[in-house]
Amino acid sequence: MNDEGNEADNTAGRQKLMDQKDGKDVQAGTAGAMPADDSHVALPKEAQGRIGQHLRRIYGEILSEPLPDKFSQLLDNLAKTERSE
Amino acid sequence: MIETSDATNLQKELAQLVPNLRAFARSLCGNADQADDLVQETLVKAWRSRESFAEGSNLKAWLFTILRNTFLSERRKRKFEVHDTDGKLAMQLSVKGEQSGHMDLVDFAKAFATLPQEQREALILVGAEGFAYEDAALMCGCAVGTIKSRVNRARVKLSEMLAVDEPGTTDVDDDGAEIDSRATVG
Repeated sequence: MNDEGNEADNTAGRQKLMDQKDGKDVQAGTAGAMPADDSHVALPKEAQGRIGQHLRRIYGEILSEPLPDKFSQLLDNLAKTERSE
Repeated sequence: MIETSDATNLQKELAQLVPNLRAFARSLCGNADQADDLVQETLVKAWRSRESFAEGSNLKAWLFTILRNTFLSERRKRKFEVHDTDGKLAMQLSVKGEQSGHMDLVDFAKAFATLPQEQREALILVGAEGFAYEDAALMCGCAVGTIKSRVNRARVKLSEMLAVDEPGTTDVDDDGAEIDSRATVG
C-alpha cells in the first residue's frame, strides 16, 4: 500500500558518492520543457496508493512468470568457463 | 581470484534476481524478447566484472545499474527501438492482463507505456521495487530531488490518464483534459 514507506528503510550510508549534479533532468528528451522541481504538486495519498497497487500487481505478474531455461543455462556456462580457466 | 564457493554463491544470487531483472528490463524496453536479451547481457557483464562488486552492498542495485547502462548504450546504438510514447510498445505485461480480463490493469499498462523512459524507471525502482529514493538516484546518476520529481510526475500523469479513460470511477474531475494540450510532439 504505502510505497513511500521504503524510504525509511534506507540505512544505506554505504555509497554516499552522491554528486548532486544540478538537479536538472539531463535526459528529458521526451518530457518536453517541464521543470525539474515540480515535486510539490503531489497526488492525494489515495490516488498514490491506487497507482502503487496497480504497478506492483503488474510488476508482480512478470516476477512470477516461469523462467525460461536459457537463464540458468547461461549462468551454468559462465560458472563452467570460470572453473576451466 | 575469486573462490569457487563465492562463485557458486554469486551464481545462486544472480539466478534469484533474474525475475527482477526481467521485469525491470521489460519496463524499460517494452519488448519481452529484447528485455530477455538485455538480461542475458547484464548477467554476462555482471559475472565478468564481479570483482568490482563491493561485498555487502546491494547486489540488486548493482545489477539494475548494469542493466540500465547497457540498455541506454544499446539504445544509443539503436539496437533497441524505443519510441514508445504512442503506447504501442507497452510493457508487455498488458498481454497477460488482457488474457485474464483485468481491463483496469491493461489500461494501466498502456498508460504506463506512454510515460517517458526516465519516469518509467523512476516509478518502477521506487514504486515497484521499493528502492529508496537515494538508491534510485544513485542508480540513475541523478539527484534525489530529480527522482522524486520524476516519480511524482509519473503518478500525476497516470492518475490523469486513468481518470480520462474511466469516467466516473475517480474523483479527479476534468483536470485530465490538460494531458492533450501538453502532448506536443517534437
